[in-house]
Amino acid sequence: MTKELSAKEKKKLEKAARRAKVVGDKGVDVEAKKAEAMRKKEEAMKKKQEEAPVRQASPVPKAASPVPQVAALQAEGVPGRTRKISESQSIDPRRLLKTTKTQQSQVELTEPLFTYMRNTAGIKDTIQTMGFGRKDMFSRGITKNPTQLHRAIVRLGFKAAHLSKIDEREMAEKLKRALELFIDDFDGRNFNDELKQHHRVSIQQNFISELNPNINFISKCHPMTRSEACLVDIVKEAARSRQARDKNLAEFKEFLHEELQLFWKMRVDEAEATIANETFNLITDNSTVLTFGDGMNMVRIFEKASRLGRKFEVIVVDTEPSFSGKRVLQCLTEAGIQTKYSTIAGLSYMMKQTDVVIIGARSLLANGSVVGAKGCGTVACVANEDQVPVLVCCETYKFEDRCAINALDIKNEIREFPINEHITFANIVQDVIPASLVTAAITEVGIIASTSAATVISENERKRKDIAFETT
Amino acid sequence: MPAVADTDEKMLKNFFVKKIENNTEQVQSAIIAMETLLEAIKIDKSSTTIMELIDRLGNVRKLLADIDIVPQKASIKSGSELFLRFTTMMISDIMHQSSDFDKVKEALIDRGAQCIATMKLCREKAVRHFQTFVPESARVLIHGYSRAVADAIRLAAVNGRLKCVYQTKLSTASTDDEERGKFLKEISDAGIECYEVLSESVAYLMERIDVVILGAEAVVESGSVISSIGSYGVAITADVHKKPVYVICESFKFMRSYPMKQMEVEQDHKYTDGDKGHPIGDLTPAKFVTLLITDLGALTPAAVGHHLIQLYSG
Repeated sequence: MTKELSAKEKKKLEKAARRAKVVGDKGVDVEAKKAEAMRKKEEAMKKKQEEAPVRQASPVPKAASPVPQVAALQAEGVPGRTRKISESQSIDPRRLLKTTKTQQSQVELTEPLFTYMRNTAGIKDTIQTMGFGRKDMFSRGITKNPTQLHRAIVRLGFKAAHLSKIDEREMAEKLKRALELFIDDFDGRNFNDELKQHHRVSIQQNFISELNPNINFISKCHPMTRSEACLVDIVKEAARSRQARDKNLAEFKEFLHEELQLFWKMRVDEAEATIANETFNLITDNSTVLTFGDGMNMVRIFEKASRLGRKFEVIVVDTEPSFSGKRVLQCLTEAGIQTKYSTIAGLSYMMKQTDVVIIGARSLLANGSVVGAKGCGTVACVANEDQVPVLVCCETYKFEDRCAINALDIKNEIREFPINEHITFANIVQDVIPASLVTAAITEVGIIASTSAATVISENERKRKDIAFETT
Repeated sequence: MPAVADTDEKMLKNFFVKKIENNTEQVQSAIIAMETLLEAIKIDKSSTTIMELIDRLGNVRKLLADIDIVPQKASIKSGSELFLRFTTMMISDIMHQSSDFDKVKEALIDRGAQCIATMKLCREKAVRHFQTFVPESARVLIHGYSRAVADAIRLAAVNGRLKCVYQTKLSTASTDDEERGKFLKEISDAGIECYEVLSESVAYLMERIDVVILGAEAVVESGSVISSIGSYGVAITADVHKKPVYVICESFKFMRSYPMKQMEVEQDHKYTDGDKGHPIGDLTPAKFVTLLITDLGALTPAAVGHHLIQLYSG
């Protein structure tokens, strides 16, 4: 019954509920209005059912998020899922965020395929309902952001939800900046308020309990890639570590900043420089290198190789719908490297002229598979047929301790890509290259077989535990 | 960097050459290289710090790599690198107990000797591990001559699991011909049919073979194997006929390099005489190697990378 409400009705009920809360104790009027609304709704529904039964399969963006709908229905006494939201309480984003992902998927996605994948369906409306939407910026009466979400994180999440293509490294940098701002602004304000009934809670726990809702928000806005997840892990680990105990607020913040900077410097920036050097050694003079995908990492690596004096040619292969290879093409041409460009349709032709394929990875998995931009699996297949070695550049912080064999994997992601209102585009964002197709992985610990990723992960774990023991 | 004194250099070179020539026990050249390095620690009188000692050893290693007497340069390289790695590991271990330089040196010599003694047993262990992979009444194809493979076959013959042995004959004469002849005579005296076949006939014979055995000069990080020329062809043929290819080698032959093509394998491992003449070694890619049978047990090619990372990063 509840699902047959059309979008407009839901919004009306929402507004009515909100106004009711704002108005307050004028109980009788509220009841009367609601009864009226109920009647109108029934009439409208009858009309609609006569008109077009096809309209039930309406596309995604019109549905509002479930919770206010439930709240409104609950106030009317319609039987449904019961969740008590007292009338005087403003809409708490935390509760909005607690809606389960699968619930969203089933409600929002009209396509029954790939619902197990992470997706951001309906997120734009959730954000709007929370009061961060573009249109609602200056309207009053909508919730002020309760203390939970930091403004930098909100900005980041909002941008991420509205972008159709995201460069993974740039997102990681933005997240880093947002986290730095968050750490700066963290001041233990909520120390006493919420946790009054508990005994003294340490700064560490307080920090983490304040960080968690922010991270949840970001991961709803756009499923986090491995590099971003790693950043968050580093911050959390630093906050929980033994070294962070018994520090006062300023020292704690400084410590976190230091850890974050150190991580970024050593495992991201320096790692990239080392990888660029190794790649330079692998590209021989007058050879042709094929690259795929949208990472600016590869651009920097090739620029460095060219600056160090290698003469080589690059073939950039690109796919729809975002054609992000065009930016790569532009940057490489500006760096003075001879470049050719082709979409993936011309791949087998271009492969005949290639000496080596070098692609950037988003993540390297424990069984040796490589997670990259969609389409890279095809490139690896064709390269294998033509006996062209496939090299993958990946820093060690992106190594992940799970396994996947192909792109139909639970951690993959579908992103909305509107074409027109009749077509839903299953825009699967990432692809998985099976381990057997990858010749070698270029990392800052050297050139390793991609299957050795698991050993590197376990060695790093071992070293971290050793260090943790030493500092006790 | 302090250079090895000239006299020391000559002494070590002679030591090495003598040991190679008087190799009655058929010890691998890699182990002889390790013994030379140990000797270098013993005769070293002028270094006063650990770092100096390690530098000296590095120079000796380079010296050994340049000696032209042996065709097996790959194993010398990997063996000496491994010994140096063990040395550094041993030093950091010893330093926990005492930091007196002389005591450290003594302890180092002790442990070095122990280490070499363990290495000498590697071949035996690999040979023993191999026995479980010989099926009943096995018909076996061996390509190239390797002492480890020869020992493995001898043991299998003693255990009565072999039916017949095909040994390929290389088209050019090599230094191992004599030893190979002796080995084959031994096996046929033990009552097993032995055939010496031309390399060209390997594809013809593959349908009646159960197991292919290769020796290895060196094993690179991806699990690919550098062994005598023709191994690549034999492995491809075995792959088409779905026959297992086992490589018997000791774990000190694992090398930290990553050639992806034949051209990327270093010249030293392929040619004896600059790059004139025919190559004597080639690279068999990891996908054609079923298992590497080593003193550590039976390893898949992927495990080589694991082992090397653990060894060199710990």
